[in-house]
Amino acid sequence: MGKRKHNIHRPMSRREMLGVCKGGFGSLAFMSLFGTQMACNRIDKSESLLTQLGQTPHYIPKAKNVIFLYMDGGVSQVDSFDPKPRLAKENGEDPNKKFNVDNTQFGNVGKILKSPWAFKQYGECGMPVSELFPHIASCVDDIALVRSMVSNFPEHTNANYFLHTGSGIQGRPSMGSWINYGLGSENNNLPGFVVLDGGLTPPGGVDNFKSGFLPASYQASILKSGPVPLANINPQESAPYLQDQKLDYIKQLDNSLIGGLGSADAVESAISNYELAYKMQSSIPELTEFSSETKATKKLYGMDSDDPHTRSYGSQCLLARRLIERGVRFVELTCPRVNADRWDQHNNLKDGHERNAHAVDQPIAGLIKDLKSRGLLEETLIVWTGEFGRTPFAQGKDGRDHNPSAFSMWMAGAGIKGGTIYGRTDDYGYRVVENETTVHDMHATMLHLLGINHERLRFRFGGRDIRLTDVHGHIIHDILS
Amino acid sequence: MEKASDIVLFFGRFHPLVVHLPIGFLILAIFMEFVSRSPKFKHLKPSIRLIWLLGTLSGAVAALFGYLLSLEGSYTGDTLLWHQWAGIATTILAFICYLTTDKPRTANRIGRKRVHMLFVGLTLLLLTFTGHYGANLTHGAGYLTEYAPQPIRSALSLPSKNNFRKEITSLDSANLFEDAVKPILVSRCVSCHNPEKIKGRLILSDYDNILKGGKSGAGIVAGNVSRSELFRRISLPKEHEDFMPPEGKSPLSEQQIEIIKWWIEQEAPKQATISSLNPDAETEKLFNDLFGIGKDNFIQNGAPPIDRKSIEQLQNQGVIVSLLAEEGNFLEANFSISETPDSVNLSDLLLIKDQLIWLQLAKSNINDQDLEVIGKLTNLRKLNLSQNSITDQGVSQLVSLKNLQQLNLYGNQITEKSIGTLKQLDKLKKLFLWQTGISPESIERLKAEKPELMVIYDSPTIQ
Repeated sequence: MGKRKHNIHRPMSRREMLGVCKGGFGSLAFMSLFGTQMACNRIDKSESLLTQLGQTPHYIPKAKNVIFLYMDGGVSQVDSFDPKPRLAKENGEDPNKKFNVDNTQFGNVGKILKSPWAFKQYGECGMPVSELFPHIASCVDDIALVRSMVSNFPEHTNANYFLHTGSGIQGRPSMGSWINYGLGSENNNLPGFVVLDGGLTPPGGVDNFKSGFLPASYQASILKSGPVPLANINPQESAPYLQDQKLDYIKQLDNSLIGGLGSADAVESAISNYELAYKMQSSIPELTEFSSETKATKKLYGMDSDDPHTRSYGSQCLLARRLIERGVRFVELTCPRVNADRWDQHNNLKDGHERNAHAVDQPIAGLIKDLKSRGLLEETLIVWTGEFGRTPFAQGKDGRDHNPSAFSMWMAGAGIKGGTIYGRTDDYGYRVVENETTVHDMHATMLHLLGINHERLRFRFGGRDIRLTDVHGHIIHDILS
Repeated sequence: MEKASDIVLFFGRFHPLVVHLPIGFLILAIFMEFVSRSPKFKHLKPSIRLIWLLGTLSGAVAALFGYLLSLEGSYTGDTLLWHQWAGIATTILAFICYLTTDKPRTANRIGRKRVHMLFVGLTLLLLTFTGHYGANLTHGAGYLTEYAPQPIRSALSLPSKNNFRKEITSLDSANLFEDAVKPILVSRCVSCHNPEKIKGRLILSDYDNILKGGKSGAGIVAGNVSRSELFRRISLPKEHEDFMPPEGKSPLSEQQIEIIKWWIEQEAPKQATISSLNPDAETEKLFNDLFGIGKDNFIQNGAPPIDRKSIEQLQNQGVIVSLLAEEGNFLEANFSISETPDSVNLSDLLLIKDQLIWLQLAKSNINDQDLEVIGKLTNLRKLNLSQNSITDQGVSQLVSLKNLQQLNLYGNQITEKSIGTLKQLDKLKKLFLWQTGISPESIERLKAEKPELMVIYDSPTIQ
């Protein structure tokens, strides 16, 4: 800016005007941004109290923990929770003459296929459930069923990422990571996000359970069923003091590295993961030791079943209860390997779905009932869902293809209005016609029950604030109590 | 009232548009009058006179349009009169200011200058006054201060926001019209339909006028929703030309529309309590939500601030203390996943007595003596005492927990004797009694006596 020669007569130049005002405009923008920020983080306590008490929900939560029962492969909605009598009437007819058939994964569109299983109404609410799930059916008064789920992807890997991370591409944080990022873990001796590996790794692999751009300490710890639930949990050293010395030395090295790095997250997470692993040497054996459980409880979970897969899934469900009892925020169960593929019955629907259902039905019902009697269902949210549904017409002769246009999901437990049915599909169960519900809506509802406003749970990455629900998500108020 | 001709009203409606021009001119003139007193802005002086003239002329046009608008008859009463005359006076004053402004190149006369500045000050006052009354006509009188913070409210002796409506605690005492219907109309309709501003010849601020309606006919036909013009207008699709409130104003919520509908269906009574009209469960819920009945006031208003030292004291003993929400200072204490629950001094919980609303003591070796302390934690909403060694004697200490909504006693050696205590917990909604010594028969009796209470005591079984 040139030196002003004439103080009075020469008016301000355009450049000078902008120069003087830029600070003003800037601070207006700043005020608006800062104001929002302040409103978001308005917590009536000192900074140190916040650190003292850890992360805080936005509002008083209904649920403290989530058990996510993931039905890998996509359960057929018309064979489980969404009865369609019209399929029986028009069994064997050409679906192309009835409705507009979308491209399917395998393109092998067969005839309309009626459900091989009969439906019956259960409970006081009279919710219809198929013969596949006689035990879950006895819990319908605690279940809120959403029949109008849709996914954005017709293929397992993307649909799995979408279901777990709210995004169809690999690398985003899983919902369990988001929840722990938002709420923190209550138990310092166990990870806050645990996946109980039933034997089937979902398509997309462990990226379904990663923490993405969130600090690495929020990623899932995967526990296997069997005698050694966690690899390398038993120390290799001959005496405990040797292990202590080794760990101290590693920590010393790590700490000396932190100062020289721009971002120390990876190293800090590694240190905290080592520390947690050390504590888990004692907490995991105690956790997986079922001798304190009564015979009746084990029977309830189906751990005396003739079916080894029921036994295995039963022990996972029991372990899930033991984990949430110990303050673990998010437990996900993957499906057992039942020798008939995941729930992904492209052929031989009857056999495959029956095997899968038999493995999970009683353990899930046992879990709901056990939690209920112990009062734990008051603070635990159970979510049951696949990544998409299946077609009402056959693939080939006796299978069903992927269907992202409609599937059923249910929730039970904390804050859920049991006995509710939400949403509706068309007469064939092919497409949603009422109250379409997205995976983002499901995530928003889960976060809401945990006391988190899904629009405010954000992490700045790649230049923008990213949420589990991205820019979507509506809470499904109709299923809340 | 005879209706003015269309052309008159056409120009009249331009009043709110045109009126901002003189406001701008006059404020500019007044501003320049003051700043030009400083030598730095002396050069502005010659322009002021022109601006006063522009202000006067545009003011006269605005006043004329304003008069035309008043012929529509939608605005009446004192506010209109004050606004009208103040507006005219402002214009006249602006003209006087123009006349008394020194013409360029005339000598300054000190005496005249003082008189002139007096008029300038007066113009500013009147302009503010006129503008305020004009805005009151457009938006309704309480518009400006509706969201005023409490200190300003006190200074203006306005009623406190929280006490705006007397608190309704039961539908037995709530008057359907006075407490439910009227406040809805006041919040959504009355700013345009009041004795001062009678849009569509309709007044919605009192019972008789609401029933009478306006130029489109009777507002309310008691018992007949479909023939009630008021209901038709508020329930039309939003795009409809007749929809009320008009575009740009907040429409009534579904809940509010439902309440007005129910009031008309009940023959639009003036004096009737809601309970006396036997609402069904759904309607009852509508009103409970409206009045916030059944809400926990303590939870709504929040607990006193938290003392950091008390929390430290508990945390140092291994108790997990967490804040339940950002606001309200509510705390949860959890002994169940603490590593050393036995060594905790339970009476330290009294330090956070005011804030503690959830307490987790499952499997924490709690005995009857400990319950003496717990009985003093009267703000508790949720209490988990499962799998401890508590007897009936211990449970009797809990009788003071009047706010308790959820109580978990599963896995304790308690018997029928505890039922008497449990019955006295009026706010209790959920009770867990699995694996206790209480018989199913007495639990069934308790359930019959307290139908609102959910008792869970069955052993979980699979058929």
